[in-house]
Amino acid sequence: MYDIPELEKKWRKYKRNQIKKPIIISIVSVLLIGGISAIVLTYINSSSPKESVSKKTTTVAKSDDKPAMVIVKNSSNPNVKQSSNQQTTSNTQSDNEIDLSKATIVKPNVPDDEIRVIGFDKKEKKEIEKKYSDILLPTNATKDIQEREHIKELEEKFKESQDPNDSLEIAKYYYKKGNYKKAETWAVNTNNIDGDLEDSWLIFAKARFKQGFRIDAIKVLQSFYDETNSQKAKKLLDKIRRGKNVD
Amino acid sequence: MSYYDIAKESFVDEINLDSYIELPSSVAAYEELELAFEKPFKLMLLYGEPGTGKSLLLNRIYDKKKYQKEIHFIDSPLLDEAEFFRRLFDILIQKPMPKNTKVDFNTFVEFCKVIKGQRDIIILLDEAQLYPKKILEQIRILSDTGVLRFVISIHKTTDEDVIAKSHFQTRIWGSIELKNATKDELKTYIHQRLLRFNQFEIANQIKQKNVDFIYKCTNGNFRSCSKLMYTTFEIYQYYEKHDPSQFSKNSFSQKFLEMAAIAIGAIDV
Repeated sequence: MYDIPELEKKWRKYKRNQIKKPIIISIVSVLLIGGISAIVLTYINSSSPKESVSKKTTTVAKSDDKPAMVIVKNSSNPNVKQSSNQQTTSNTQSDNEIDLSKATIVKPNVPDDEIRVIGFDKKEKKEIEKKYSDILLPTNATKDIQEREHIKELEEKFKESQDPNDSLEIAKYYYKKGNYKKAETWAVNTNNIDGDLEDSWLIFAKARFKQGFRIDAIKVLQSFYDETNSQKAKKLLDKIRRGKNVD
Repeated sequence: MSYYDIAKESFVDEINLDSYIELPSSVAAYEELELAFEKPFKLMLLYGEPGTGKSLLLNRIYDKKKYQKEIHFIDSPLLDEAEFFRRLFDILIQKPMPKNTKVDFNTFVEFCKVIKGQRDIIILLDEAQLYPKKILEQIRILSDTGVLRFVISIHKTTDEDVIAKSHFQTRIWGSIELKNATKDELKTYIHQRLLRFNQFEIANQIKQKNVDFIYKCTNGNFRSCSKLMYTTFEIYQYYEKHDPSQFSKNSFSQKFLEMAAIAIGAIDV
């Protein structure tokens, strides 16, 4: 037989808990709903002025964070100006488009109906990635585009500056990308300004070799080696002579 | 003896064919097993959670068929080989095994081959999950002779897999699962058990609300339900003796039911 008085005590406790449970659940639910509402309201209040500003004018500031790059399709001829550091641009955006207030916008090297946006901080990057997952470029693609932009800038700059270091960098870029014809052209441009730059000779020789002009490459390297005793040229010359692959 | 004493007794957990209650699910299981007896099975598996009525079903089919077929019911597990052989001797030779006699297992197998076609023996084994593996293996070999057919009842636990897969996998002709009762079945079960003891008044006092609570606590398991009801009437007995003002004789006490559920650990305080 059970200890009935003790059992009755337990039963009273059970009934108290039965009453307490829904009360606690109600209180927790109310607090949770209140808390969530407060957060949502705060968020709405804090974000709405920014949105209104961004719909009219977009101030561009370059971010120090690694950039997130998004291509925003905008077929209605956007009023976007090229901007690098601290430039201002105006842009008409629809409600679905992202807030460009903290973005760097660069003139796209893509069809005119697309705008490229760079420079969101990490938090925004996530939001953008989520929102624009279908048009967000992969990281390596963004790097490629940035690099290409940089080379385009250098090419423009070179027209004025005629700096052989710039043209050499451009030659190396094209060689790396496998555009050997352009690499050769820019190596020649470099050589025309400064004929002593070892790397421009090497790039030229390698670019010729890659285009199938092996003898040309050997001749160029041999003459450069004869004049300068460059060990890099010697090494490359040996490689080509032995029929080895050239990086 | 008060009403509550009698009501308590109606929920004693024992296998009593007089108190067998025909519920739709148990009738279906019985009919399935009865039908299987006419088929050439070697092994039938009867499984379900403890308290779902496996033993009662085996008892009932044994009781109904014992004069029509050569059927044997081994209700408690035979845990060692000697005991198993004694029982087997008894079944096959139809005489008790003489004292100081030792029989080799192969002798039973050979004997089965001799009587093949002459006798059809069905053995109902309850609590088969408790049998040692060696005996299970011997059961399997005996079933292969085609003379001895087995209905083995096991709990629906991991043992079910062990037995089914490792010993009988290819030989099980069919299986019957006994499940817990539905809410309606549980209500019928409670009422019927009380009515068998002429407790009409108490049976009528048990309302749907009480049944819902019982179902919640027991998940429709007959044994758990009986235990809960038994304990409830035990509590009734206590208050009837010590403090009758605590309950009304015109309605069923949900409080006592809840206390009983706490006592048997069906609900957590």
